[in-house]
Amino acid sequence: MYEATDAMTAAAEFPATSGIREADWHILAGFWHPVAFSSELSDGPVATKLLDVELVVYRTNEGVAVAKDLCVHRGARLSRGWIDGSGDCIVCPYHGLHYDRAGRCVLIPANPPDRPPPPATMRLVSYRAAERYGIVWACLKPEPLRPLPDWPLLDDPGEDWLVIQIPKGRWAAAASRHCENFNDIAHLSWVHMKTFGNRARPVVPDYTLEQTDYGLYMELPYVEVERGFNDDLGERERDVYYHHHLTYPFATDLRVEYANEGGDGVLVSHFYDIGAPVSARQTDIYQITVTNIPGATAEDYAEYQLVTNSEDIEVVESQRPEEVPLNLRAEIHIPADKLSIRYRRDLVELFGLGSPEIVA
Amino acid sequence: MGAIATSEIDPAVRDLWHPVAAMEELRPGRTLRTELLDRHVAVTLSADGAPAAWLADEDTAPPDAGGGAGASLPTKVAYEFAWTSLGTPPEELFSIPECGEPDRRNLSAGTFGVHVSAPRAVENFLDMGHFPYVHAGILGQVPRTEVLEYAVEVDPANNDLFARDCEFFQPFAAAAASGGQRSHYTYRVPHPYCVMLYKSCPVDTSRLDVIALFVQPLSTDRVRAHNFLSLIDDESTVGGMRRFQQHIFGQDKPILENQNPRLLPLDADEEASVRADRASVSYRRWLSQLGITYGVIPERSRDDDS
Repeated sequence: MYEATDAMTAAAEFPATSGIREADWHILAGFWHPVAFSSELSDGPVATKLLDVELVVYRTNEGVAVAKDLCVHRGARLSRGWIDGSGDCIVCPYHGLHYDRAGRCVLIPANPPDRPPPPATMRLVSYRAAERYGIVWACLKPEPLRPLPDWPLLDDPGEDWLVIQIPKGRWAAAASRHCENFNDIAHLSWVHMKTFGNRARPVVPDYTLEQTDYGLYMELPYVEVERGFNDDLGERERDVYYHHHLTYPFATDLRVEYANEGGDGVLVSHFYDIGAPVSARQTDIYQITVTNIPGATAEDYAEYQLVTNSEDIEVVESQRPEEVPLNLRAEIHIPADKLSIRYRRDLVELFGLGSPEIVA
Repeated sequence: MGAIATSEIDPAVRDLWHPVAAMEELRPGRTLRTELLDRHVAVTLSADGAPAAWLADEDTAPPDAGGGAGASLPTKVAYEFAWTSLGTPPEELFSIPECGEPDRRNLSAGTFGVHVSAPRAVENFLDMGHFPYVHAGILGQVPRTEVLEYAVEVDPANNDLFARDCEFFQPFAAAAASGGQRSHYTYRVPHPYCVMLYKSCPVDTSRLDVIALFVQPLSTDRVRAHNFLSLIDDESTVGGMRRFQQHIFGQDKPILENQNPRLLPLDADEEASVRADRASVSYRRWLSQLGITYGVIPERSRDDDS
């Protein structure tokens, strides 16, 4: 009977060539997603893609900004431009049009100086942007569905913690496939035999799983194999306890407690992992490792994480179908999949993802 | 490729002459294969020194070679290039009378493959506003960024589009330049995909150099852009003049290939225009009036708005 009040704008913002179903796109666009590490912006603007929208990410004196990577004048890519000397504006590489953090055009260099300033309508397609945890986040909708992940330790780690930013990677896999894998336990004893997996202990005990205001919480013990990545003590078993905090839809804080026999305090590492959905089957992986284990070096930890990722990539990029089936009957489940079953149910029940197409 | 029948190509561009090769690229007995308006075209030099062109969607021999030949196409030599047409072209190509002056040096100055539509390439050529940013230190320099008011008109005699009284400060306007000059330009668009400018000559300020861009549409969003020069310059070597032009075009190419969309939007609401864009706005309107649909996003019909 009615067209939605946002029918015009909604149709305009969905990229027509996207492989993401339009209904799902509008839901996913309502979340915050990472678009760059803060450290990437020191040399000027950078290009990225989120949900098939090509974006420019830049920093002015007033903070970070995210916009469509398109000058509204003649369609040039702003990510090929630069930040002006004052630090207030991004400059288009074609005709030097200056845009401020809000995306307003504030200078048209070809115009005579006595000309009135550019009209207010001359502005970039700008999006909500935020900077937290050393990451620039964007939301493609005016009002985010959910807040950013709440990770207080990352806000202020203090001196006891070593913080390691892992080099970003782009996986040829759907963000949900990556996220399920990061929160999957049963694969550890099979996939991670170069890093911490323990083939002798494949049994996944019944574990605690709770729905929370941010997503899901899971905890359980595991016996890892330490293979001497950070020391010369050789291969041995090590008791660990995993705490998974999954913030919907794609962000996880994995807190690992390590047995510390005879030592002081608890040895803990946090593995933060966020998948940014570049397109239906491409995901940028943002990871930060934080640890209080003495003697750890950033280089060792980064290498360890990258080797772990390479083990996962091989499997996750091979999964078919590429999209996570939200119809639970589409794949066979085992008891260890409790989290992944809940995750798929929640994506449908809480957010309406994967809803059937209504054919008129 | 080859799926599109010639009869299905927009007649407004099918019946035009299009450049397909610099004459000096052609050799007798050697076939140059290229594309034009989504069709494969082959070109060679006949024994009499005239170019021959034929449709080559399959691997066909020249028409005069007998069996298996592709359909022969009309050809013409003009301004150092071989031209052909997929339809019924007019008798004459547009005229550049200056090229006939005895002390002129006429030369092809390089061909670039560019992943962009022909009209985007022409529009960029018509644009002075980008000089200080894309050709910094050569054709323009910050802070002298202002584009002064200029006049645009369509010549009633031949329907060519002109932008006159264009003026821009250029630190290094041509291969023969020795310092900055206030360059005076006249732009002329005599063909939907060809554009030229008349520019004050650094060595004889009473006369005008001619710089032209002849764009060959391979498909809607891929072109070969052919540069042509007709200069009064006894000093520079051919290599020097070509290098200058190729350096300039090399700066334009990445900008063109990153424009979005690749097709030129003809609707005035699609991209925001500024005062300096009078030539570009007029070119878009002129293409609309000619009924060009190839390489552009046509104007929306106002009746469709609801």
